[in-house]
Amino acid sequence: MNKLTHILFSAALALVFASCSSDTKEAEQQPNANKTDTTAIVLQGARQCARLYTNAYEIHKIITLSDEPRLKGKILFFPVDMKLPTGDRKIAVPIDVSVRASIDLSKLTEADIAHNGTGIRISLPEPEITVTATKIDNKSVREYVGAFRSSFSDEELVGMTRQGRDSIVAHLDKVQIVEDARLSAANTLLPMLHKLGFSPENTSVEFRQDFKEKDITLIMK
Amino acid sequence: MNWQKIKDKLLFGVQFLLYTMIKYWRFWLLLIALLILAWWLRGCRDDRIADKSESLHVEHNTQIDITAEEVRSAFPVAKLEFLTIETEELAEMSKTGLWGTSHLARIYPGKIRLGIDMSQLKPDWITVAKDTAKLQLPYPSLLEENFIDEASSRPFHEKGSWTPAEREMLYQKAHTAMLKRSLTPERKREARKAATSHFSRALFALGFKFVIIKYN
Repeated sequence: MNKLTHILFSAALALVFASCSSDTKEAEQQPNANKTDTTAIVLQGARQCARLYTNAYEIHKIITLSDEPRLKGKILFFPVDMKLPTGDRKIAVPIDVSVRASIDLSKLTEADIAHNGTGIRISLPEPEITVTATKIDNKSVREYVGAFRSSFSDEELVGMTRQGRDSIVAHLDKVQIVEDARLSAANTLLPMLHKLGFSPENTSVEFRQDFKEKDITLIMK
Repeated sequence: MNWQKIKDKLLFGVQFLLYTMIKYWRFWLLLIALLILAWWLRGCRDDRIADKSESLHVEHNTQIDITAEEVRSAFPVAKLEFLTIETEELAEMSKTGLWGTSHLARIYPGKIRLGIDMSQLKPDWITVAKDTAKLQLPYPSLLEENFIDEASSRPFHEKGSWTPAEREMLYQKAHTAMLKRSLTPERKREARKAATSHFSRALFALGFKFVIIKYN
C-alpha cells in the first residue's frame, strides 16, 4: 500500500510541476522564425572596389552580465518575485572592435573632378564608417557559475558580443569620425596631386555636403 | 473465458479503488486538491494569459550591463582597398573526456581586404614627365590582420564544456583557414589588376595620356 501511495503522490506532483514548466508552444509554432535566406551568402565572393581608408579606431569594452534567475508572475492573484535558489552566473567578456572610416572612390564621377591646366578640384563622396572586426579576448574571459547552473553557452557568448558591439557603435562620435576622415583624406590626396604637378594654391579637395549624424552611412559586416 | 477473467479483474480494481477511497480518504482529498491546483496553475502559463508579465515564469537576464567603452587607439591611415573577399568558415573542434566526446562548431564570417598601404610607399613613388605618369607600387597585400566579426558569427553546435583557451583555438583555426583559402596567387593577381585599373582610370581622368605602373 505504501508503494501505491508513493506512486500516486509522485504522479500528482509531476502533474503540478509539469503545469508550471516553461511553455514551448510559441517556439514550436514558429519553426521558420530564425531561418535565413542563404542566397546572399552564396553570392558572396571576391569583388573589386576602390576604397580609401582614412582613419582607424580600436575600441575596447568589457562586457559583463549577471544572470540571477527569478520566479515572476502571479499565484492566486498575489504577485511573486523571488530569487530561485539555483545559484547565479556571472561573466566578463573583454572585446575589441575595429572601426574604420573610409571613402568609396568608386563613387567618384567625371563631374566630381574639375581640372584646368595646373589647377584641380576634386569633390569626394561622403565618408563611411565600417566595423571591420570584432574580437573576443578569450584569454581574459572570466566566468563564475553556481553549482547548479550550466556554463555560458557559445550562443550566449556570441549574443553578448553582439550587444557589446552594437553598444559601441551606438556610442561612436560619428560626426567627429567623419570630420577626421575628411581631414585625413585631404592629407592623403593633396600631396599626391601636388606630386602629379598640380599647383598647391589651385588644388582643392572638397566634400559633397555637410553631414549630420543621420546622414552618416554605417556599415556593419 | 478470457472475457470473464478481464471482467473479474476490472471489478476487483473498482472495488479496490472504492476501498482505498474510503479507507484513505485524506490521501484522496489531497490528491484531488493537487489536481485542482495543477489545473489552476496551467492557467498561469504564458499562452493562457494575455498580459505576459502576469504569467508565472522564470526570468533570466540576457541583457549586458552598462559598462565603459575605451578608445584604445585612434590614428589616421592611408590604405587603398582594391579587392574585398567575403568569406565564411565553419570551424569545429572535438575532444574526448571522461563524460564522452564534446563538439564545438561555429560559423565565422570574414571580410578580407587586399590593397596598398600608402604609408609604405617610397617618397618618389609617383613621378611625372610631360603627359606620362610613372607609379612604383608595392604588391597589394592584406590590409587588416583582424577581419573576422565574431559578433556576427553563428554558433552551430555545442556539446560539452569548453574553456576560453579552446574557443580562442577555434577562432585561430577559422582565421588561418580563411587566409589560406583567400590569399591565393590568383586573388593577389586580381587585386593587382584592380589596382592598375583604378590608378590608370584616375590618372587618365586627370589628363595624363600615358600611365606606367610598376610593382615591386
